[in-house]
Amino acid sequence: MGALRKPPEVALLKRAKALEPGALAEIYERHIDSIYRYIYIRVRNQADAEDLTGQVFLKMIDALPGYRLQGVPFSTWLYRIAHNLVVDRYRRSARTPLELSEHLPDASPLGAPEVRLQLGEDRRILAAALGHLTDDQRQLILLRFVENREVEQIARIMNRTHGAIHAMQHRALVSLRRLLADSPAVEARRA
Amino acid sequence: MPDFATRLDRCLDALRDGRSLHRVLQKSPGERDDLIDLLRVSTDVAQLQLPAPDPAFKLRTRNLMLAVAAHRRASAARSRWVARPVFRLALAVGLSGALLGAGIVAASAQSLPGDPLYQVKRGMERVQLSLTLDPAAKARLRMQLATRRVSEAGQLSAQGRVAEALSLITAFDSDVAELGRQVVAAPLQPADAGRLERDVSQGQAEADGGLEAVAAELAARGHSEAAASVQHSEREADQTFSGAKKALHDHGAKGSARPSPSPDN
Repeated sequence: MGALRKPPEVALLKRAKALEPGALAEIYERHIDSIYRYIYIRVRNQADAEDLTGQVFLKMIDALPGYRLQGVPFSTWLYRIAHNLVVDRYRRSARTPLELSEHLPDASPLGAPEVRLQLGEDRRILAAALGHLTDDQRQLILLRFVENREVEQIARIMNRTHGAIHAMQHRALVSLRRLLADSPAVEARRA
Repeated sequence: MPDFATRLDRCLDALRDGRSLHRVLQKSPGERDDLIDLLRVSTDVAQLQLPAPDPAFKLRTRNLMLAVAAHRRASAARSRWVARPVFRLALAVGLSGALLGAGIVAASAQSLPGDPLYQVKRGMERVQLSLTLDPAAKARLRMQLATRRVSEAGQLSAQGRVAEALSLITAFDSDVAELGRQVVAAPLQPADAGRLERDVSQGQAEADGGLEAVAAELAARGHSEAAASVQHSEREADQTFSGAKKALHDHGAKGSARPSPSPDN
């Protein structure tokens, strides 16, 4: 027996536009984790990330009947909702977010022994370095390297040009490299 | 020749698709070490595991989303049916005749969802709306009904009846959206527009206060997603109110900009 296949997205979205519960639940399951991570990396605390993630899916219910199947890809559209809500929250609130590194889960097995970041310490150093990037850079890094999104899609989500995303990606990686190189723990290991 | 950022992106694509980096790197030997360094950073980031959402949160949010969708679907179906002229006329004639003289209407005024007379109350509201032809009066009535829904939601949230309270907030959303559409499209006299603008401001303040109280009550009871949903409604409503007030203001301004009759005429 073959593996279970996900229903094709267009058929699923047609049903979701009619607010059919099964289709909405399927869409929710497909996107909840990535949307949560996308918001979390911006707001950097669990309560705000949960609050905004909930709002994304309520907003999705409001806006779905008007979503055009021939328009932007659905995940891009959903990320745009998340993006706008996060921007709106930042405008309204002057709260200082917590450090990302304080909230990362403890080290867990990362697979093969050759994986470089297999120790919790390394992950915390990297998370701390990510915390020093700008919001946009952090968002880009997440979409590009954790969520594996295409530059084209990221450009649409972040409302930037293709070239601007290339340049931002470059600057973000250079900053991360510098931050990692300056980390006392990394220096001590090299010595 | 593409710039460094573009070459870096090509390397990242090759890495992601499992293609060989050799050809890309060969084209820029002077930058090879720099590119490899940045690619290494990108693979480190890809290994980073961000926290997953809490399973209990995921379940709560899913259920809330499906509940809100069910209310939206039900109210859309109801609106389509109620919008039919034949139905509106029949409803107006039938309900008015049957209920007006019976004193049930007055008794239903304080009812809440779940009470036997609540459907009577909502039915009478629809009759009132159908029978109100003056655009300004109709908009005022719509505003009044919207704030009534918020007040009912406040009573239900205080009783811990979260889903029913949210259903009323959904009805509030629909009323406000309809109000916005009416105000923009209505052929209002400038003087009416000015008065209605003030009434909308007053209704908005009342609705905002009520919605904030509902959200606070829900949050205090631990229903943070429901509270967020109410705050979301408040923001949406504020936008609609602002649009409506602007449209009314423009209506009024057009009237005052008209040249007054010359004393010589």
